[in-house]
Amino acid sequence: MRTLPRPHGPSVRGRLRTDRGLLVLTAAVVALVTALLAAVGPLTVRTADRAVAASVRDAGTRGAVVATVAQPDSRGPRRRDPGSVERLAGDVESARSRMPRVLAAAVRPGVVSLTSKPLQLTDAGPGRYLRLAYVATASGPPSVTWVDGEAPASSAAPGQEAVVVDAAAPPWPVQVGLSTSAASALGVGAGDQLEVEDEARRSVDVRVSGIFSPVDPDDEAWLAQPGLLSATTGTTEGVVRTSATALVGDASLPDLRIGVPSDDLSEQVSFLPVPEDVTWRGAPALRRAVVGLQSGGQGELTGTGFDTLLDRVLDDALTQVATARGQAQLLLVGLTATALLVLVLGAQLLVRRRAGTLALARERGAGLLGLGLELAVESVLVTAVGTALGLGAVLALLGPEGWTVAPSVVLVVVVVAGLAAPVLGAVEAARATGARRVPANRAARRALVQARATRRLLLEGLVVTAAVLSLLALRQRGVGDGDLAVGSVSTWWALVAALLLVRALPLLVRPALRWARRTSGLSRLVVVARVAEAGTRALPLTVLTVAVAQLVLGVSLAATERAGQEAGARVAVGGDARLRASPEPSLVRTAATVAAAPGVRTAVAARVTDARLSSSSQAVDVRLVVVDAAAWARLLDDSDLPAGSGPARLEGPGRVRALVSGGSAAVGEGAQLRWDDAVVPLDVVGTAPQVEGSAEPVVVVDTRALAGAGTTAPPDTVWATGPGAVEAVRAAAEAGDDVTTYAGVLAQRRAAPLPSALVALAAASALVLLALAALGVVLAATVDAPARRVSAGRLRSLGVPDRTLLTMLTGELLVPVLAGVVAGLVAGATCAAAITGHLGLEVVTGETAPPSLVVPWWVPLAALLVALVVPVLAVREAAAVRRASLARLLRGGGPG
Amino acid sequence: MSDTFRRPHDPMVVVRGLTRTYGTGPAPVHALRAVDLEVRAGELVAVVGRSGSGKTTLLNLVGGLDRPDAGTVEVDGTEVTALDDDGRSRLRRDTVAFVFQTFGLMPALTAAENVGVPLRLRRTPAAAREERVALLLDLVGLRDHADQRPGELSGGQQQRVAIARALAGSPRLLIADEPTGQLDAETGLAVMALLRAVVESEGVTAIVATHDPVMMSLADRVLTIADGRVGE
Ligand SMILES: Nc1ncnc2c1ncn2[C@@H]1O[C@H](COP(=O)(O)OP(=O)(O)O)[C@@H](O)[C@H]1O
Ligand SMILES: [Mg+2]
Repeated sequence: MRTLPRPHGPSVRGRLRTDRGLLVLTAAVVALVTALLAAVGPLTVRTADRAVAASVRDAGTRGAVVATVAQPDSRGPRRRDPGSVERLAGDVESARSRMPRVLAAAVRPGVVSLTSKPLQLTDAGPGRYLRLAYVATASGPPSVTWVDGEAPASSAAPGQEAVVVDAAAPPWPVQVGLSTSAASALGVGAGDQLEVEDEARRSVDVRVSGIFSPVDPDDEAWLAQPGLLSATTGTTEGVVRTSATALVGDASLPDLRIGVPSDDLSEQVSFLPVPEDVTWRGAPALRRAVVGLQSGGQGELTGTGFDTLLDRVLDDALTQVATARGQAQLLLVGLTATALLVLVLGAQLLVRRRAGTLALARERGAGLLGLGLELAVESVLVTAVGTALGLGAVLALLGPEGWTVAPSVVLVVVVVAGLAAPVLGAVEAARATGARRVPANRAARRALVQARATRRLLLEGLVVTAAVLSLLALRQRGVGDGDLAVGSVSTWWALVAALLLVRALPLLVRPALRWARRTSGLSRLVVVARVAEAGTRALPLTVLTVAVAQLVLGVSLAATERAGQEAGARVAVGGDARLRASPEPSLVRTAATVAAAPGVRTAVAARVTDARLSSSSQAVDVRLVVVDAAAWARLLDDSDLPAGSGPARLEGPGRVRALVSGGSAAVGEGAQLRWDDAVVPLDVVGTAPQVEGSAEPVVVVDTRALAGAGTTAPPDTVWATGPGAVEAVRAAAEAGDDVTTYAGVLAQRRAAPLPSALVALAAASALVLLALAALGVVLAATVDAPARRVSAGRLRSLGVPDRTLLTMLTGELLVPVLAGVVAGLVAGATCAAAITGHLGLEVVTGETAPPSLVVPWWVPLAALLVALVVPVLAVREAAAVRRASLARLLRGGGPG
Repeated sequence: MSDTFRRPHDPMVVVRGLTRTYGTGPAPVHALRAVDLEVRAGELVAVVGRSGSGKTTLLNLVGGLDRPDAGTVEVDGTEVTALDDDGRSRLRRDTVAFVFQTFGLMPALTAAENVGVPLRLRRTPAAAREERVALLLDLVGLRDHADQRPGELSGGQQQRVAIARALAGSPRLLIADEPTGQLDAETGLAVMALLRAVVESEGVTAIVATHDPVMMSLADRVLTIADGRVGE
């Protein structure tokens, strides 16, 4: 076997010394890119974990896993069970033991509740309902302070704790406590004995032992039964209905079991997930466990069934994370591609600087393999140093936990960085010696040119095909986690733009050259001729175009996302501030007060409520908005809120006119609004805008028009706009009213883990891309610097003034840079316009429709920052030309 | 500017006490030692001497590409040695033209464009420029190669383009340092004959450094330089 040629130590060391700057730069780029790629792994995992946790936290009780425990049969005599409390604790344990281990590990200790159906109070007036509920956490029932009366006691006489109650006996009394809010809503007090009955008109004997207020209203136990602390008032079919829940204590729990028919009782154990314990990586397994638990069908067998929306919460969270990661990938692929191009450009420069030595070594008989190996020694060294620095920095900054480098991507960078110089060097050396083998035969030469053109066409075809396929993939399946075909879409299109530029620039330079020839000036001719000769090289143009296109895309995505958050927040609030109260005609006056407050531009009162919209063919649940159309039109106009077809259409004679969103076409003729017990025929005159981020279709009608049809809807909402709106609304709010502000909602959305991480990534990648683009300009300029210096020196010997030389150098360097920047700007903006609708930005911004693209006006300026490198380079080169002794010109050594 | 009413046989170049020493250490090289010489307008002077004798140093100083340690150079009545950078730039633009051993053409420009550079420097109108470029290319026998780049021309052709370019701006003084140094004998001969011919036709003064005996025979006068001193 032939032994591999050994690299020549002294020449490797010598080259390392002469090209120190360039090699350090290469190592720096490798370090930067490996650091970035290595950091993205752990950082996105952290962000994803925080995002999933935030979703679970925001879901609140919606994410709870609720076990429903079947109740024993109620017929026949019932025996009072003094061990009821322990039995419930046992039910908690057995419910938990039925959960898969991953789920059990991610939830808090269960909250058990035994609750009756709503029981109607029959003593005075209709519409008053009371539930009886026992709730307990692992540490027992929630603590309360008795403000009147005392805690519910056992209804059993001493020694009678296990009494058996005959089916025919009068109802067994149950002692309960009422919260102050419930007591006042129902109009009952301590010591009252309440006449109540269930739906089947079976009587229940309820005795109010006392009135309490909670020690900690945020106690988990209250969450399981919010009605315990606050009564609710609603209107059903025109009748006001007040509902409250009464608290049963440890002592009266055995009485609840026998005092209320057992088919009126339901027992539930609610397990709230611990947000911090739900991680992004653990979420799929958790979701599977939840789905399995619900579909297990073990309810019939064991008497315990599970129900939860946690799987949907996790689903949504995972979709959001996958979408965000897909968007991030778009930026990272572009960044990596740019870095790789810069590395290749650097290698090209290195090899070009060594072209002479390489050719010489080759002529002296050095093998290509040997030359390649020699070059590989140093590039491997440089790459190793760069990689170690990059990975080391990440390890030092982020620590070892969450250490999941995407090895494949880092590998690509390392391989390209390590191999570019040796491969290009070997090619260069082969070409240097093979140059004489250019066929003398004209036909053979033509064949060679044709082969080269075919290769180029093939490469271009490949890039265009990849670009088209990835765009199709994006349009078909949207962005997704780890979907490289989709993640590379913007990079491919930037490459297509670069190829176009590389083809087009020579075509554009030709007429410029013709023009420059016709004119009498020297600078323009020299600049255009030099650009034609050296400024249309593919690699530097590609680096610039891709970098700038990705920059534009990243910045536009971030800007679009932020604008989307603003628009979404404004729609969610309905103005700058919103007051939500119980329906009350006086809110019209409140709105007038708010409108008159300083700094308020508009304020309007409205009723926002659920209703049904029906037609001959169908009926849908809708969000009904009853509002003063004229005032609302002013508000929408003032706050840039979407206006749909415009509230102006609502005013007019005839039937009540309505704007309807979503499916308004399907409703068509014979639309009827059903709300309360009123049925109002509608004339659909246009499309309703989105109101308060409602997921349901929106129906908007004018207050006066609706009143004219005989239905009044007292307002429950005041929207206001203007700098003083928040203060005015806060001032107008009464206790129990809800104030929501645009600034608050926006800040909350901005701070959400995924959007903020995406914006940070876009900003960071924009900076790195700018640096890479500038580096590309410097490298490309360095490649050509010798040729430029020769021509500048020769012009100087002809008496061209230094100022003119500087102009020429600047022009020559600037033209390709501007071409690349402009191509990148166009490519980036076009690509952004083509893909923003498919990136699922709305999933991350919390809107219902994709936000419309925002390309900030300053993006071209940012991209032009790259061009600032040019004057610096030109001044430096001009200085070098000036320093070069003209005396050497005559000596044949050339300038410099 | 200097006196424009100069008579034809006034000296075009006057060199007095010109001294140039390279290096200041223990072994300085005395490239020129107090050289005096005059070149009359319309003369073609050959400067001959062994390699290292100081020919290039002399030509550099006369053309204002270098500064002497002592002495003065006057070209067409202008004291070159007293000019600043801008002044010398102007001198090269308006008065003196060079023909280099290595041709010194702009690789990115065609032959015609190279010849046009001095004219563009003075913003000569395009039509006049084209006319003069065509004339000069004719003169050097390269009419058919006007649109070729230096890389596509032979050495002799390139040097002829360089001569055409040197003449384009109608300089008073042409300085050529071994213009045939990189050419084979036959081509060199043609270039030298061309130089002789253009000095006549364009009425310029020329100083040509050379080793070539043929050039000496073509020159009006031969200056010999040895060890930094000039003799006839
Ligand atoms: N830049 C320089 N530094 C030091 N010595 C130089 C330099 N240029 C020329 N010389 C020396 O000056 C002498 C004259 O050189 P030169 O004018 O080039 O002679 P020629 O052109 O006749 O060959 C030589 O000995 C040469 O080595
Ligand atoms: Mg010489």
